[in-house]
Amino acid sequence: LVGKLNVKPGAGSGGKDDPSRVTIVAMGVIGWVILAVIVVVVASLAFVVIRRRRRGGRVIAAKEKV
Amino acid sequence: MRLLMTASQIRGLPVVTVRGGEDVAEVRDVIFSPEAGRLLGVTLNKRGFLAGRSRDVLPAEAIHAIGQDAVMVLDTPSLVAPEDAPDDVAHPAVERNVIGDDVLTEGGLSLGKVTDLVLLVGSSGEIVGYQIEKTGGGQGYIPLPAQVAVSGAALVVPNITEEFVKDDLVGLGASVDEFRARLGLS
Repeated sequence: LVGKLNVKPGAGSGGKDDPSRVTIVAMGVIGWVILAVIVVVVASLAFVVIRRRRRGGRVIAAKEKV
Repeated sequence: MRLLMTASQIRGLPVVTVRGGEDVAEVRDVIFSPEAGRLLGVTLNKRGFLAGRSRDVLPAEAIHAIGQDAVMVLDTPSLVAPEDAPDDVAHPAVERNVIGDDVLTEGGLSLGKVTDLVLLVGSSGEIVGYQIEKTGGGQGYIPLPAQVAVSGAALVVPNITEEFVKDDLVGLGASVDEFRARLGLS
């Protein structure tokens, strides 16, 4: 039957050459990459905010003495 | 040696001991008295990339000199624990940060926003004036005795201050005495 339909062995639903499976794997990889980028950006922003808060940098006027 | 510096130039400077040459802290917040027109002290950060706030503070009396590249103290004990420091320095009123304050005349005219504080440094810390971002755009300077009131929201100045907004530090230095004379302060 495989030979008659001219389909590679292993192709078809769930096979390693199944186009839908390749697409799903590619989307998974892209998803992980996007997630990694988001994590890096959020972590960098948090680092910058925490560092700036720790550094301070205010110019404070003392309260007037009555 | 005396030179004009802004508070933002002082922030982040290392605190170095004269006797040991040790780099013991770095400047965090600048605290000043608008009434007396002088620096009261600074709060400190520990040294290091991720080091946080230091518990010790540095009152003005303990500062040996302030220069372009470092704040000098005699030795490590010059850094004072909050219990032994003046209250204004040990527990600064953080809500009274003047950066970003609106500069308003008594007549209700907005001259701009405070962007920095100008100090005459060296062996003392005299406050000379404020650096402002003018309402019409551009940078300007107003002499310190100008303020009638100061808070974390607004700096209220006499009406004549409008005449004394200068475009550069040289102009500010020259205008301080004249301004004080006009206000009857000298």
